[in-house]
Amino acid sequence: MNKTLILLSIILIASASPVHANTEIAPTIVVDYVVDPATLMPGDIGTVTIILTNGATDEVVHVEETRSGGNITEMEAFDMNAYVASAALSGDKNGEITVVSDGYTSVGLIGPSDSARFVYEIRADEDAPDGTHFLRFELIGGSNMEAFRYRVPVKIDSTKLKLVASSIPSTVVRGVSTITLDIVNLRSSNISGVVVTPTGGDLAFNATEFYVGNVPPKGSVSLSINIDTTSSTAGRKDLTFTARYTNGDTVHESDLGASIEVIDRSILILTGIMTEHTSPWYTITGDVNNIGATDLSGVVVAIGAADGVTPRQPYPEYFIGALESDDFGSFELSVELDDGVDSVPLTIEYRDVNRAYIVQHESIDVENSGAAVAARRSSEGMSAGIIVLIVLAGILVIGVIVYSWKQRKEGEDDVEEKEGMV
Amino acid sequence: MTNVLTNPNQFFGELSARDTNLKIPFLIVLIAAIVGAISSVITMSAIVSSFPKEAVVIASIFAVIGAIMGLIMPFIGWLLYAGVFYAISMLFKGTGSFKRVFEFVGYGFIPMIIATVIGVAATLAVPPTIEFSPGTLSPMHPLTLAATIIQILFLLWSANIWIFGIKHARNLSTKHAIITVLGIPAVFCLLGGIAMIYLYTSGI
Repeated sequence: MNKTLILLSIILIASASPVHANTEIAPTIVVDYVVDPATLMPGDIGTVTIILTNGATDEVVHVEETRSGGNITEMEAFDMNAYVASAALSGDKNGEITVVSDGYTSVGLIGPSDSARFVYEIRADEDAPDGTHFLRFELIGGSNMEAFRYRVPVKIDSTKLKLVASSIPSTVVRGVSTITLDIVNLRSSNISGVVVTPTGGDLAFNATEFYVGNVPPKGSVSLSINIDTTSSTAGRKDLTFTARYTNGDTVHESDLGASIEVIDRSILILTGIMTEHTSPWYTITGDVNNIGATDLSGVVVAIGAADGVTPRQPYPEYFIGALESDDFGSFELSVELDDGVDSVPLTIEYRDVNRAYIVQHESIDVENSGAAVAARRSSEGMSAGIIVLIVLAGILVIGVIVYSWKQRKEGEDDVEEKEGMV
Repeated sequence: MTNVLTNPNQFFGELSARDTNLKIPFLIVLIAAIVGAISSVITMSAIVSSFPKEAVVIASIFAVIGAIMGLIMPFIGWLLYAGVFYAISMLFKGTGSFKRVFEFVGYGFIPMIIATVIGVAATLAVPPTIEFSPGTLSPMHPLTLAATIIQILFLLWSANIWIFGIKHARNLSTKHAIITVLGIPAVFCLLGGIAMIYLYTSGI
């Protein structure tokens, strides 16, 4: 805070014009001050810098007198160096801002056009109320330099940095979701060195800390954070975002609490699964659907490892590639299944929006997938029935044939008997 | 009438004493033809349902052709069986007329009607999957295999009827009738078996 140029002292005592012998001329001192940080928070430590500038241009000012007849006679010479005996800053009248530093003593001379800087460390009380507090600067001069006091205003503002959840989904599926925070600075001074740290149970974030930097006064900075819930358990999760920042040299923190519901569903779901027994292997076809809010890349569907399950050519795995949000990709897989294998494990590999490699495991129930259902049910469920059917049909046909031949033999015997009787 | 199935020897013996009557055999073959046509339609419909839309029109034409063929084939088969049996029985100096042979062969289609019905049931039970796997043989579905075995059993039943039918129609001995009816299929089976063995050993 660089404030107020004050023409403090032109001490000029002139009794009359033209100039008389009782004329007295003293140096002109300009006072300036800087408060850092410009606005303090309760408990902050800051500095006040008082800058005194000697406004004189020459070291000596000569006072001359013009007498009758045009003769000019030098009456007196004035020294324009400003002599400072001591310079001290004291706290406000309520003691809510204290000056930690000692005052300056035996400072010496400030020559014409020269400046002197007096730096004081100040501390705002933890309970200091908001508002403008006045510190007292007191300078004691020497020689022709008069003493003077000056009030330095210091502002205290307890308003903290504010974190606003501008976009946090209330419910997410397992995958990567993006949330957006606005870091808002409602103070009248700049806030620097802002670092946001997210935390939250078994949730993962794309970074452990996010550097925001400076937030201008009455301004905001937007921050996007990706939350990875791929490995999270289902349920409500509490999130905390902590912003650490400095006001001057003092570190402060602001928090934001939020919660999201993680539902037990993966970001990728399988639909339209058909398993056909296209000899000699099985062919599994279906769609992978991205129900998440972010785009995925490098999506590959593959047969997982399991006993009795052997991936086969031409498609032991299937490359889909990029899969945008709310989009789907079809796949086809070839697999050999041993007898008794009812399910096929599938792995879906992809890279999320953070380029993180993720593997999702799924299982397809061969018994309950499309065409394979009827095929398997008929081949396995009816095996006993088929055998019984064949045996019954065989018994029926062979029985009838044997019976007919037996009837034929009896008929021929009857004929022979009749012929014998004849 | 049930004697034709259970005691064909007596049935045809009694029928030989009467004049030739083709009405009942024609009715039997007609029923076999209608059942066969329905079977063809059901089978083709099941297959067409698994075709892509572009091929449905062509497949439907084939379904109609299949139905017509299913209706005609039993009559052609009736004529062929009778002709072959008549020709072979000439070797054994058979004396009956072709018309009598034609009449008696028609009765042999009764088990075939049952066999066709079983085939239709198997077709409806098996899912219509068309398999295209170059270089590999598709294993037959168990239900289709069972239906085929049962159809062969019923064909044997028909052959049993034909044996006694030919015996009485052509006044042959039982041995000659067996050779007449089963001889030709046996030769074909033998030739087919030899061909299969040759193909298998030559690696084609």
